Amino acid sequence: MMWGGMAMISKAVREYTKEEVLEALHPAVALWFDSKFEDLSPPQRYAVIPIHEGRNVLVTSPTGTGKTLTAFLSIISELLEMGERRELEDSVYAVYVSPLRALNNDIYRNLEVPLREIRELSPGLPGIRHAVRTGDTPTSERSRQLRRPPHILITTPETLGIILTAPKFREKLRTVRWVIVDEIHSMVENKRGTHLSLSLERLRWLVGRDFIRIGLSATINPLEEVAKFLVGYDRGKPRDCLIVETNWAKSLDLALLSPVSDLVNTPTEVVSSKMYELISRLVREHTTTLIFTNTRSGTERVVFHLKRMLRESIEDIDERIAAHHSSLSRDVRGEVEERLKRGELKAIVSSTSLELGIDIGYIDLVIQIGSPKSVTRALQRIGRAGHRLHETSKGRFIVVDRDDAVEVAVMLREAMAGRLDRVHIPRNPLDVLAQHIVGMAVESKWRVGDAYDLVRSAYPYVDLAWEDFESVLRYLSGEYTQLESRKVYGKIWYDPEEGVFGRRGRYARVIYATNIGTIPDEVAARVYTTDGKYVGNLEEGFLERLMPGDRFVLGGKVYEFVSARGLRVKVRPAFDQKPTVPAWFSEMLPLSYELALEIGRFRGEFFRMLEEGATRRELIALIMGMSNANRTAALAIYNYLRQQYLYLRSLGVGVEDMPSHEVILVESYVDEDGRTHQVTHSLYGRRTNDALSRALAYVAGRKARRNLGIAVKDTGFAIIYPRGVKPEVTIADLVGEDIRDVLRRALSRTELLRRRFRHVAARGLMILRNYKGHEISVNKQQISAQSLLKIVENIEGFPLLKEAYREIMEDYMDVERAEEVVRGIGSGRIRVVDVGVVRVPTPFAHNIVLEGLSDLIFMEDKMTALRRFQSEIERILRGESG
Amino acid sequence: MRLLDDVEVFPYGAMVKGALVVADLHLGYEDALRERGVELPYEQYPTVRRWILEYIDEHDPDLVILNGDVKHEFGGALSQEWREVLDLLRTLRERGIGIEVVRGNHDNYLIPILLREGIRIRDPHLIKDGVMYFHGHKELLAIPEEVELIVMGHEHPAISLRDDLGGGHKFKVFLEGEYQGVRVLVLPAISPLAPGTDLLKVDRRGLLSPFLRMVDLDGFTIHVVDEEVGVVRLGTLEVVRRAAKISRP
Repeated sequence: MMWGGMAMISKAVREYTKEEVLEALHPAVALWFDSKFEDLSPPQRYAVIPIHEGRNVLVTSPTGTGKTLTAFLSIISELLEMGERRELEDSVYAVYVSPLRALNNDIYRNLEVPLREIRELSPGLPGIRHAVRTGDTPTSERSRQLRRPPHILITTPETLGIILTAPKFREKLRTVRWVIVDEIHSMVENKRGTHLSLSLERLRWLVGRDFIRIGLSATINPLEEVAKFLVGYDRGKPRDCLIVETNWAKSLDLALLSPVSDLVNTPTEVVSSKMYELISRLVREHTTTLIFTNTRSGTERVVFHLKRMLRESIEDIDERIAAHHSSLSRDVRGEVEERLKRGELKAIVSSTSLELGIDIGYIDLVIQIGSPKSVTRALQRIGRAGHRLHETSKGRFIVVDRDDAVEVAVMLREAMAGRLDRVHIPRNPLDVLAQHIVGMAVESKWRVGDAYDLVRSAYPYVDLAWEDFESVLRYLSGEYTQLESRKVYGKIWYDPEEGVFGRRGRYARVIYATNIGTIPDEVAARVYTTDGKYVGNLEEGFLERLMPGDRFVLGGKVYEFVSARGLRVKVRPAFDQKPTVPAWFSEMLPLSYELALEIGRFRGEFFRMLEEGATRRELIALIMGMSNANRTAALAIYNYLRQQYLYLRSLGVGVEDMPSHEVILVESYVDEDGRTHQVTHSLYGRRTNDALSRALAYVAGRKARRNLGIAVKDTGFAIIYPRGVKPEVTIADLVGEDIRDVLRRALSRTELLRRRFRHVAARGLMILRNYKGHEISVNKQQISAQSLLKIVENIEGFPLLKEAYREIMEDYMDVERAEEVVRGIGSGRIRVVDVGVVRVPTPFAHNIVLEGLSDLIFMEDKMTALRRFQSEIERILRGESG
Repeated sequence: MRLLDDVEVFPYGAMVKGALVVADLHLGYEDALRERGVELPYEQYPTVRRWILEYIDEHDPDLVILNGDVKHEFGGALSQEWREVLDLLRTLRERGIGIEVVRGNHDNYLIPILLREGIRIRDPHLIKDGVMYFHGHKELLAIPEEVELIVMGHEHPAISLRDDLGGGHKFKVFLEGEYQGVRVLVLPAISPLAPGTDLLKVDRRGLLSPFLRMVDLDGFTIHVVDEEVGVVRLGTLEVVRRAAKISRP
């Protein structure tokens, strides 16, 4: 017996030869492989034998390096051997899980070919069945799968969660020996991954012994954590896992490009036409180009302009450039993918939908417009190019904003040095837990201790507190409702004395099966023009804020709000006017903390070099060297940083007080409406800044007794004070505050909390999307997010409300890093330098001031608000009489 | 706050000529939501019951008038509705207080519940001491001669106020005005779950009550009512509307 001491998570060092690998495989598989491939791909050299030996393996390598085959080689080989020993029964032996249905169909086809060819080469082999099962699988196919179960089951996380409770089919899962999790990097950071981690532990419980877990991932960091996520824990210790990292197999050719050298004074039309010229040229010079934009609307815009500019030079251009994003129907996307695979496209433009590994054929260039916001994401996107072994991944980053330019320059430096940012893996989400507890109760009666142990063997829940676990049991058993209704509506029964729980009611199974999943529905109001034309949807929370006369952007056009009845909104086109209301929930990708710190450090060093007299030539060479920037991009960066430097010098700020990773500069600026924007240059990324800004606004608002606005960017934030109110505190005043407590208070009345609570309530089965077999649209549920929240706020320790706060503070924001920054200020490691009111904002502040309003922190009580409104009324009445 | 000699309003009911009037209780809302897949703890009835008993302690009425939408579910009488409506009626009876119930649009299948306590429903309205108690979901074709005041519910009137940054509060309100020489009082919903109609957002056609669509609501006076701030008179809807526009950015 071995006790500890063994490396639980380790990196693969032993490289195997083709001969060694073929020797280990079933002769028919070896024969087939040898006939098809000259040599093993890098992941195959390291991973096939360990998998064959029964070890858990996490494989990370770019697309096109034979990852999936790596996973399946040993499985197919074993299944054939089992078949020959007549051990292969009508049961499932391997489960393949991927987040994309499209990917599932790809994998089905990619297995079809080798399975057929192996049998063609060696007739008389036992048959191995494989099948896809997702939410789309028709009932007839599902019952066929029950009669003749596939030996290899291809599925999604959600469907896996459902079949674990399917009374008959789950029996077929007891024989599982392998589980493959593909694209695991796309799931660890969100609740789909949390959900999957619990499903895997439930499967482990059902099988009754460990199965071999194989994770396939694009570039991600730290691999050790992702490996632990894959394999889970056994009695508090991570299960064994071998990490196979073969990213070195591809070399990188990255460059930063700016269409013009002056990104401030060049008119927007010129910048954008130069940018499209640049992109057109790159597209012409390459065979197939994949272009990433950061928004869906950007995708369509790029397609439109490229078609226009390339019409002259490329034949049939309208047929050869296509958009691919999540708003398009699945059919349209599927067709575009097929055309891409057949090599018919010259360029394809995508927001995020092509980040994942559908086999997309040959791509020789990836263009990224704007900053991808993290080194890892940059590499994952670029990794889609050079879709052949040993080929270079070529990526071009085009920026049209100065902050983006600096950001990408540092990003490329880090990417080329192989320094990745860290993933954030959600911890202890109680809503996902609630879903699984209902699922477990549907399966059987549970001893509470067993269930608690099972849950804690999933990576996200390894530290789950007993109190939190039990609060979910209490909530699900209907403790918060009247006794009479528990019988009807309770989903589980729970006996704390005996320490057991189980299913309650006729509907628990249906509720579980029809409400599983983690992707939230939004309450949408339908918007019509006054003459009845439908123009789009607005979110409920946004609608609640609108007043008649407000102008806002919808589908790229400006409309004036006229009136609303329930969820039907009337608007008037105001196309040529400016919007007066900010878009509240532009949930853009946040800049990673690690990269943000590096940018801060770079800014500081650059200022120091300027101070020490470095020449323009030297500094431009430095930028071009570190990021392979073109001259215009290097100039744009140089000019931006130098302007900031000169401006601060003119204010008498010494170089040691200029913003860097160790100095937070604070400046205030009064706009034409008399509002003061107190700008804090805290370059920590938006997740951290969101937490810092709200905490500070709360502390400031507590003093001023007024509502304050916040504007949050990756490079800093602003607190916006109404006319007549001056800032009396800075970020330094957060030292000594309990940040989590302050933040919680600041969030309590925000739209963000309402919206996230509704999502959490849906995941936690408090709001059902489907009840007794009927689909219910959220719009029909007749209760506003605000009313929901008001009621649960009165319940002490309600687990779903606790989860909503946790999700916002830890996943959406980064409260931990915010606390770290405040501690840094407290210890003097980070200095706060307040330069007071400036007449014109410094260049670094421009984007923050332009951001407008991101959200509000409510500090004004009802009485004060009413009094202020009454004095407004008196003014009107005086005006009338006088 | 005393609005007229014989009318006093408070959050969220009114005393009219010695009778306590409340409207839009929507009892059974939680189970109606449950049938739509939303699981809420039962908070509404305990709150409404507590409020009504507080009004009784303070104002000592002989009669309680439930001015429509006592219950919520259109399609039947849910067990929660039976339970809560009966409990309310019995609680009032025990205190020796008379009960009148005016029919609202949600009050289908309420009659059998009331009959259990021997109470008749008033449909479409109750006229008593020159006051017409009327829920408000129908048009009023003629107003009898003796009526000098109409007390109604149904609309759930509310307004939301914003400051110049756009932050705001939503308040329930009473509306007080006149129609064809008859005074009109519109009550807010007593139900803490019922969403209010934001009068600053809807146009005339967007109002729920066909009766109010015929009325010039702009001339009505708005009184904010709220548990925290009590009753605050703001001014006519027309002035409130203008003030709300000014305080916008």
